[in-house]
Amino acid sequence: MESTYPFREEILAKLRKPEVCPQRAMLLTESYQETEGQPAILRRAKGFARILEQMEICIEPWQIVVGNFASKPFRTSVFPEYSWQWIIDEMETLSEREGDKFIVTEEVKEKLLQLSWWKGRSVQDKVMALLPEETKEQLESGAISSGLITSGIGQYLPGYEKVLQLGIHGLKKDISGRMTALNLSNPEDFPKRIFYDSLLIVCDAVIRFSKRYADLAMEMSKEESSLERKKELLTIARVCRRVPAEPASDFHEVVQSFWFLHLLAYMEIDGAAISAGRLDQCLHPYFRKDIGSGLLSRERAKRILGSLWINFNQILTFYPEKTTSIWAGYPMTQQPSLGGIDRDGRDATNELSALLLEVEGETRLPQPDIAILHHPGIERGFFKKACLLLPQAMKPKFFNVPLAMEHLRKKGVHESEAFNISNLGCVTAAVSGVSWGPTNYGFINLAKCLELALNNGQDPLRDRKIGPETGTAPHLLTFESLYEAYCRQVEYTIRQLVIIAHALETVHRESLPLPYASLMVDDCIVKGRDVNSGGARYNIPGIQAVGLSTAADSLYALKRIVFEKRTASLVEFNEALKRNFEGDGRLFRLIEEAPKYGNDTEEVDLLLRQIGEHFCKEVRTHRSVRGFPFLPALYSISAHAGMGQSVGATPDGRKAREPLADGISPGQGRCLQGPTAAIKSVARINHLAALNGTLLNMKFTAEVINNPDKLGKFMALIDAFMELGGYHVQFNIIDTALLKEAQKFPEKHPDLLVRVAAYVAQFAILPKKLQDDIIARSEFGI
Amino acid sequence: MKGLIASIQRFSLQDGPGIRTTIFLKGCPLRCKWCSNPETQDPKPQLSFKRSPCLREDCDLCVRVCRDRAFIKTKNGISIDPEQCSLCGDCFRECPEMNLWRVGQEWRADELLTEVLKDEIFYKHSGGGVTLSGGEPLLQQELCVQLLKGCKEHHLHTVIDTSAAVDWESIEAVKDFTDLFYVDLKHVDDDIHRRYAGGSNQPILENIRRMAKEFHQEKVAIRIPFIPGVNNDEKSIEGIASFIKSLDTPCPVHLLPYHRLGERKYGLLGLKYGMEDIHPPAPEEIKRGLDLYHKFEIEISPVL
Repeated sequence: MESTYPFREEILAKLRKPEVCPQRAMLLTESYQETEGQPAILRRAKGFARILEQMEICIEPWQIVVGNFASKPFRTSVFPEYSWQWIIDEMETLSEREGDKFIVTEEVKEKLLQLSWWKGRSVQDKVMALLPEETKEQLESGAISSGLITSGIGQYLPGYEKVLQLGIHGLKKDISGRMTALNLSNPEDFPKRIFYDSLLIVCDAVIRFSKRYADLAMEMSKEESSLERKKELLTIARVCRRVPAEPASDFHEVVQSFWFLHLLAYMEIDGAAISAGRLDQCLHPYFRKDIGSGLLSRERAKRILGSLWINFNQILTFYPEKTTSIWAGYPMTQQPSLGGIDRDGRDATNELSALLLEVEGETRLPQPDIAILHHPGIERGFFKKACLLLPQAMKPKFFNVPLAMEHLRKKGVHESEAFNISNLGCVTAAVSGVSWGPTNYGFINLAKCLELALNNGQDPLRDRKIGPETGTAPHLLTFESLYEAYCRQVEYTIRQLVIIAHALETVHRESLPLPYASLMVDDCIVKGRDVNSGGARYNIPGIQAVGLSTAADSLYALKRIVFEKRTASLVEFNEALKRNFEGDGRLFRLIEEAPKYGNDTEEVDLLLRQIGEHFCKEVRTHRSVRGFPFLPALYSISAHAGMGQSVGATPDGRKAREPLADGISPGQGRCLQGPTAAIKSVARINHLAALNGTLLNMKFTAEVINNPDKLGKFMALIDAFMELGGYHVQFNIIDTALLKEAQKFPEKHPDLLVRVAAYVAQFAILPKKLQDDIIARSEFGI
Repeated sequence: MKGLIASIQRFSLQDGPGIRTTIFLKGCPLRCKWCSNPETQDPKPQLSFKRSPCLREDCDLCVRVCRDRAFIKTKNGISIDPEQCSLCGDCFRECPEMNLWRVGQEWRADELLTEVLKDEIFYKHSGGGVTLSGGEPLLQQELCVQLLKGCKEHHLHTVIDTSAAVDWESIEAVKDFTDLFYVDLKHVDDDIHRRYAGGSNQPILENIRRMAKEFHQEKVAIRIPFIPGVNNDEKSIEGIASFIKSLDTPCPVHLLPYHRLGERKYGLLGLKYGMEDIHPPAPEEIKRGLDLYHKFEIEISPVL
C-alpha cells in the first residue's frame, strides 16, 4: 500500500535521529529558580505556564492540526525535574549510542550543563535518598526495575470528552465557582485554594498557548504564496482562537482541541503511554454533524486526522542509555481505542472507527498504537479491516471487552460506566478521565526470584546476598519446599518494589503535584485535591511480573526431573546452571524433553497459572501511600530482554543473560504445536486476576492475512482466544526471513515497522538485542 | 485397536474448510513421485532425522551406537539407510541433540478423538473440523470408522483426503461419518499413472465415478495435483476434464500446484527424491493450467 502522505519518508528519517531541544528544561529551571519557597503545586503551575508562554513555536507544512512537543516537531523535550544527571553524563554519546540516538549540538550541550541546578531537587535524587540499602541491592541485581525513578509518570487517560464539550473556559468557571464557595478559615478548604489557584494559572496558560498558534498561523498566512495553504493557515488561526478555550463546535476544532489536550498532558510530565481514549466515539458526533450539513467531506476529515496521526509521532521518549537497551524505538505508546460497545451493550463501531483505520493504513508510522475493543458482536467488516492492517503496520492489537469490564468492576468502577472501556497505558482497562495510576511502578523479575530460591537468596551473578535465606539446594528435598522458597523470594522482591513505589508516591506528592493532569482527571476538581495526592476517582497503581513462562518452565523442569523422575539432583542442576550448561548434554536433553508452556499441556500450564495467581494475589496485599491496593499485571513491554541480562542460565534450558519470555507469551521458540495450542495454554492463565492486564505477543507469517482464504481463519483464531478468556493479543505479521534480511541490510529496509512490545517501532533503529528477541519469537506459519 | 499415525497437525488451513486438525495416517498403496509426505508412504514405523545436517557437526554417536549399521557417513553429514534399520531405538535414545525420532506412533481412536477435541473451539469459530489424510487413511479403515464416528458424536466436521486407490467397501464404511471426501485425481492415462504414481488408476477412476453417482454432490471434491511434465499438458488436461464431465454429478474441482516443500523429508528419511529436476510452476504457468481447464469447461479453483 502506497502512503498518500508525501511527508512519511521525511518523518521516518527524522525519527531515526531526532534532536534534543533544551527550551522546556531551561524555562522550567528559570521559573523554579524564581519561585523557590512557594507551595509545590504553585511552582509547578508557574513553571508549566512559563513553558507554554515562552517556548518557541512553529507550524510545519504538513500540519493542519498544530501544536508541538518541543520548539520543533521531532525534537525531544527535557524534564530535569525527574532526572538530570544522566543527561550530563551521557551528553557526548547520545548521538552514537546503539538505541534511540539523539543529536545534541554544542550550543545545546552548554545549556544542558546548567541542569546540575537540579542536584538534590529531582525525583531521582530524592527517591534514591529515601531507598533502603536492601532495596537498592535488588535494583542493582535486576530482581526489580522501575522506569519511574528516572522518568515521569505517564500511563493515564485524560478526560478528553468533558473538556472538548466544556472548553477550558468551562473548567475555569467550575473552578472559580468552587473557589468562591471555600471557607478559608476551614482547615480543609485552605489548601484547596492553592490547588484551585494553580489550576487557574494552568488554564490561562493553555488558552494563551493556543492563541500563540493562532497568531502565528495568521502571520504565516500573510507571507504564504500558495493560496490553498494560505486558506488553510487562516482556518488554523480561526480554530486555535477558539479551542481548547471554547467548546469545540466542528470537526476540525474538535480534532485540534483534542490534540492540544493530549499534547499538553505530555508536556507536563515526562511519562510514556498517555492514552488517547475512545477517539472514534469521542469525535463521531462532530464528524456526523459536519458530514450531514455538508461542511466536511470524508477526504477532508482524513486529511485532518492524518495530520493528527503524524503529530502523535513527534512526542518522543528520551531515556538514559541503559533504559534504551530495553525501551528502544522512542516508545511513547499513545493509543486510541476503537470499536467496543455502547451503554446498551450494542456494537459501537461507527464510520469513524473504519476511517481511522484507513488513516493508519496510509500513514503507517510508529505512533500511535491502536487498540481494537473486541467483543462477540464486533462488526465483522471493521474487524476484518483491522486485521488487514496488520502486515502493513503491525497494528492494531486486540482487547477482550467482556473481560475488561470484569476488570473494571473488580477495580470498583460503577456498573453504569463499565461499558466505556478504553485501553490505558499498555494493556490496562480504564474509563477515560477518572483513573490515576501509575499502572507501571515497575517489574518483578520472576526468573531472578527462582534463581535466588535456588541459591538461598544469593545472587550468583554478583555474588551478594540480596534475598531472604530460603534454604540451600541440598535442603530443598521436595518440590513443595522449592516452590515455597520461590514464593518467599517473590514476596520479598514485591515488597522491595512496593518500597520504591512508596518513595515515588511520597516524592511525587510532595514535590511534583500535577495541576494539568488534575484538570483532566475527575474528581480532582470536585475534591480540590491533586492527582498525586489521591484526587482521582479510581486509583490503579500497578506492579508487573516479567519472565512468567521462564519461571514456570524452569519450575516444571525441576519438578519433573529432580523430584518426580529423579534423573538429576538439584545440586547437579545448580552446577550446570553455573556452567551455563557447558558440557551438560545429558541434563540439557532431559530439560528439552520436559513439556513447556505454550503447547496445550495442562500440567505445565496449570503450574504457570499458579505462579501467576500467586504473584497477583501477593501484589494486592499491599497498599500504596495514597491508600489504594496495588494491582497486578502480567506484561513485560520489552523489560524481558533487559531483565534477562541480569539472570544466569535457568532450569528451562535458557542460557545465561538471554532474554526472558515476554509478557504471558510462551518462551522464544517453544511453541511446537502451533498457534491453537499456544492460545489454549495462554488461556489457562487467570486473566481476571491480573487486574491491570496481560500481554500476549504472537508472530505469524504474512501469508495468513494476505491470503483471503486464510484471513477468516485468522479472525476466528482471535474470536476463539477471546471466548477462551484471553484478555489481550498483539501481533507481528511478518516473515522471520525478512527480519533477518533487514537486520543484515538495514539500508534496504529503512521503514520496516515491527511490534516490539506495547508499541511499534522502526526495526532498523532497534538495538541488536531487541532485534534478535523479535526474530527469536515463535513464528506460526500455515 | 490401534492405528499408526505419522503426525498430527493442528491449525491446519489447507485441508478443508476452517481451522482443522489433520491426522496423517501411515501407509499408502501409491508411490507418487511428487509426494510431499514421504514419511506416510510406508505402513510401518520408520527412523528419521528431525533436521539435516545435524547441528552437532563433530558428533557421530548415532553411527557408533547403531547395531544395524543403518547410518551412512557422507561428506554432507550422516544419513539413514532405511533398509538396514530395525528401529531398535538405541540411536534416538542416545542422540544428545534429540535429532532422531520414530515416525509412526500407535494411537487408539479414543486417544485421537481427545487430541482433536482440544481445538473444538477453533473449529466452532472458523467452521473447521478434522481431516484424515496420509498416506491413504482408508488403509486403516477400522481406525477411521471409529474416529470419525467419535467426531460426529461431537458434531465435528470431517474430511477424508483419499487417493481412492482402495476397495469401494472402505469408502462405503466411512461415508456416513464423512462430510467431505477430497479425492485425488492424477491422470486418466493408466500407463502414465502407473509410471508416476506407482499403481493403476483403474480402481481410482471407478471409485470416483461411483462416488459422484451415489454421494451428494457437495460431499465430494476432486483434487488434481498440477505436476509439470506429468499432467500439465493440454492432452492430459483434456483427458482429465472429459473424465470429470462424464461423471453423473458435477463435483467441485481443486488444482494443487506442485511444490517441493516435502523434498527435505526424503533426505531425513534416507530416501531419494525423484523430482529433482522439476521446478514448481510459476504463477503464469498455473494460470495457463487453470485456463486450459476452463477451456474444457471445468470449473476449477486453485489451492495456494
